[in-house]
Amino acid sequence: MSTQKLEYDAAVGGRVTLPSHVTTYHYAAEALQEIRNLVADCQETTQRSSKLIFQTLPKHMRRRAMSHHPKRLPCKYRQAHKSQMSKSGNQPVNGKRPSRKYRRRPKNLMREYVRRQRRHVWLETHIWHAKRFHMVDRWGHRLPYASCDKTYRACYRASAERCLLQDISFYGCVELRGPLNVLREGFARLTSPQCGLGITARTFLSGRREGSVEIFEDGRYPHGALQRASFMWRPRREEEEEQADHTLWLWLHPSGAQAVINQLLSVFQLKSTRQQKLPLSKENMDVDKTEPVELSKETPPGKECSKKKPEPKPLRFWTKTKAFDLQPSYSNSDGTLHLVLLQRELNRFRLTGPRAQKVLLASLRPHQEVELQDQANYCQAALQLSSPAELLSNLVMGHLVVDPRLQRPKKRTKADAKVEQPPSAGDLLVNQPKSLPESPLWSKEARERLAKGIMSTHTYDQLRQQHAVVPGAPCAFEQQMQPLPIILIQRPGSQDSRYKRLAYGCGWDVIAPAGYGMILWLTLTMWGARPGGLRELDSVARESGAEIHLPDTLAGVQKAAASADELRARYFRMPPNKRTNYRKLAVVSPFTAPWKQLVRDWRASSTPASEGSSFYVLRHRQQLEEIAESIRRRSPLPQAAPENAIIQIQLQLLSRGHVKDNALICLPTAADHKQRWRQLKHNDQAPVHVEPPQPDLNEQLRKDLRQSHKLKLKRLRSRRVREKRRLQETASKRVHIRPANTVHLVRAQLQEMCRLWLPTDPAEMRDSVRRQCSRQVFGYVSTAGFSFTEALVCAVGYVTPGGLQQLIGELPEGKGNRKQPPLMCLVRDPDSRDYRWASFQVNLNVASPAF
Amino acid sequence: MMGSNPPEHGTKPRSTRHQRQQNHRVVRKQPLRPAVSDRHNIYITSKTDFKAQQRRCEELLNSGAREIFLHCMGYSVTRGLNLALRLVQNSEGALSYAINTSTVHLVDELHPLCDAEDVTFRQRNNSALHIKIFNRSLFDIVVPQPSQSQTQTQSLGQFRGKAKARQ
Repeated sequence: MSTQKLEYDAAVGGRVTLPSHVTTYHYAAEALQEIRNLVADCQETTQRSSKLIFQTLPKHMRRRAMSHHPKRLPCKYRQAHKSQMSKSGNQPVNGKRPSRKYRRRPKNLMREYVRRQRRHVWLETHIWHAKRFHMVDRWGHRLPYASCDKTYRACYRASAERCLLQDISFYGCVELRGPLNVLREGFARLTSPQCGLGITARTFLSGRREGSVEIFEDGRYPHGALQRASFMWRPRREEEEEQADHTLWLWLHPSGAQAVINQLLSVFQLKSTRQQKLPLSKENMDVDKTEPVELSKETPPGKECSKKKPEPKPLRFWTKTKAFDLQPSYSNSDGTLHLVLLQRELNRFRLTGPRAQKVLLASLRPHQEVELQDQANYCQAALQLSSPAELLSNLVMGHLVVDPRLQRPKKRTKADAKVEQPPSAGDLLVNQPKSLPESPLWSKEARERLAKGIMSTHTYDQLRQQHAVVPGAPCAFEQQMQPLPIILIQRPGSQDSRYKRLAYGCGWDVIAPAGYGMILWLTLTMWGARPGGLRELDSVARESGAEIHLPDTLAGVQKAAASADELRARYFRMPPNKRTNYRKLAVVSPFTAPWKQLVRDWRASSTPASEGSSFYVLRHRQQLEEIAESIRRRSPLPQAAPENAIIQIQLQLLSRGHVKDNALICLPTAADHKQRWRQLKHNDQAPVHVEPPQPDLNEQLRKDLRQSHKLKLKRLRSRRVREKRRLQETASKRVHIRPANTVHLVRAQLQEMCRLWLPTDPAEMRDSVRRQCSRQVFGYVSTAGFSFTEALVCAVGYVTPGGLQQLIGELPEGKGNRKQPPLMCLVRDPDSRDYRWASFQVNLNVASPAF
Repeated sequence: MMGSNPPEHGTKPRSTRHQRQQNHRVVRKQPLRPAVSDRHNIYITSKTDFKAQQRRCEELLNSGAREIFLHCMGYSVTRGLNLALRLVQNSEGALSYAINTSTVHLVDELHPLCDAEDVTFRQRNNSALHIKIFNRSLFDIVVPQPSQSQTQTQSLGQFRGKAKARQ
């Protein structure tokens, strides 16, 4: 600090004098300079400076030939140095790839796996899937999309007749623990009784059945839908009193999980327990530090506070911060309600199809234990039925089984055990033992104990090698392997025979603790379950005439945006003469369904209201039933039908034609109905109406623009050439042509061209969606494809109530009192001019789907 | 949907339309099937195409099956009868049939519409028909079974869910 120039170290021999006083402004000025230097130094080490890394080191740390040998640098700079060197390109810093032998060493392999899991979470079955499936990045996970083999139809057959197996462990589990009335009040704000039963309905509260609710943003129903979540309550023992805490597991889809958790935190006013302020009691102050940690773990902060209150002493607090929390937990201010995110704690496998019974029966052998005997007996009896759909819908069964490794067949076989004593299904349906849903998986300690006690596959194999005298014979040590508690959840499949064949999509969900995922998975596949991926989730939903992600939920919006981007990119990758000219086809929005504009155009009152730009899917079951009833009777819709809603329907194409996603659902005119009778008479399969081609006003514009752009580029180039020649005349060395630098020009041209190719954005003009073509559009298809259950092209779409009203009003007069066939509408692909007939049905189970 | 098939008459499935005033919703379960069910037991539905069902039966019989069983219940009884008669008629005397009737006990779930209720059940009965269609070929020497009546009760009992060993 002093201004005198002195030796820097007194030990070396210099004389050090300290000044008697320091002037404040001198000191401040110097401090400022120091801070500046520090900041500059910090910035220099990042890429902002022009210096290389080794040049920024202080002199005493520099070494000879540092730029050649990264190892002469301090360790923390090496990575940056390497990347700098590789960018400059003058030195091959990236050495050879390590040998395969080195890379495959277990330690190195594991390190590599851990590194790759940092960006996307892997499931436990990841490596198995990655060898056999196309993997995609979805929702923060790396998930199997579809098998590398051609298994589309095979997976359908499996889901309809045999057993389809999917790993849906990416569904996150959230545990909520607290008094019942608090939970009930909180969820009343997030859900609506109009969508179906609430979360605290009596039928779910006993833990006997799993339920599902639609979750909305706080108080914004019917808008602001987040996602559908299934839930199960922890079964309660008889001796527990009524006031005790209830525990709830909420299974959240990862796309909207964070949003739902945020809503839960704000509704229940929960705070993270990662950083806690704990009062420092008197003993703690003088006792050594180990004690307060133990104490703080056990006592909730609320109780501590109340205990200390009578004392007059000022409270002192200490803050406890957990650096890393495997399961982040939250609790409210008085410590009654707790929320724990059970990340990677449970595996959930989905088995679909009637043979799921046989597969489960073969792979799960009940563990002999006296106290759970009736549970085991019931499970065995239930699994011997011919179809899961014969049991109580959404039944929850706890089951304690022996390690699934002991139940594997020698080769992959179909599970086809002959049943000795077929149980009476009626009794099983009506009477379940009281202890059926109980499972040790609910308690944290049991899960931890399970995770510790898993015998690794390696150990198991080694033991088998030592002990098994005859290959394949059971060994003595296998009796000592810990039993595995699992939870089986029945899924009833279709329950409305008028909508979809009964019990399509029925099956079981299996919940297994962490660590057992791969063990159970292999056993199930060995017994003939066919593994499927994300594609099969969608196709099973489409076959049952519904959708997993409704278009107003978070996941639905994400999915629509992603597919629109992909379709748009693919469209502009094609050469211009192969592109569909949507302007000529009079299609306003070819890549995505413009729900907002559709709803806007069908709104009767022309108010540009505050809710003007939003829509929602109608989930109100009673209103849906009324609408379906009035469609059946061909009577006008009830007045209550809301204007911002869209109604989910299932379409079936009657004769020919194919439908893709984002197809238009249109209103037929009277002429179309007449044409239909004429065509039926002549057995004519031609489309009922063909859209007359529209003129494309932009065609000439595009041509002109292209011409002028090319001309401009040419002119610029010739200018550069001239410039070069002029320079060459005076120069002695060879002169190179100046770089073009026309990137921004070309990019602007591309954008302009894209704008001219695509139709105008429907948001700009009113009625641009409804009256985009010669028939009025009143809905859009969201997923479509050939349905194997119906042997027809089927689609799931959404229509507006106003459009339905008009459709019913414009129907030709029916003949007498005959049975009314389903209502019909016109469907047109975005790539085609042909309108075709499709019959449709309103889906009543929007809020509680069948799959 | 049914193509060129003639319209069929029979008891229609009971509608659940008029029960909306009540505080539950009727959910029908898949009818129970006996544990032993292979390709020779055919369950007749009213939705499947009639000709497809007929072709399926004919293929089974032509491929050497000595007998097949048609099971039909409720609304599809008439359809099963039609199918059996059509098969026998088309076979020009090679096939014959035997009919058993039975009653199937069905359980419906009544799902509650308000939070305070639990799932309840409703039991109902439905009439069922089991038609055995067998080959009456002259060259096929049929060894008489110990007792004809026993097999009949067996096939009847089989549908009710008792044990039966396949012969």
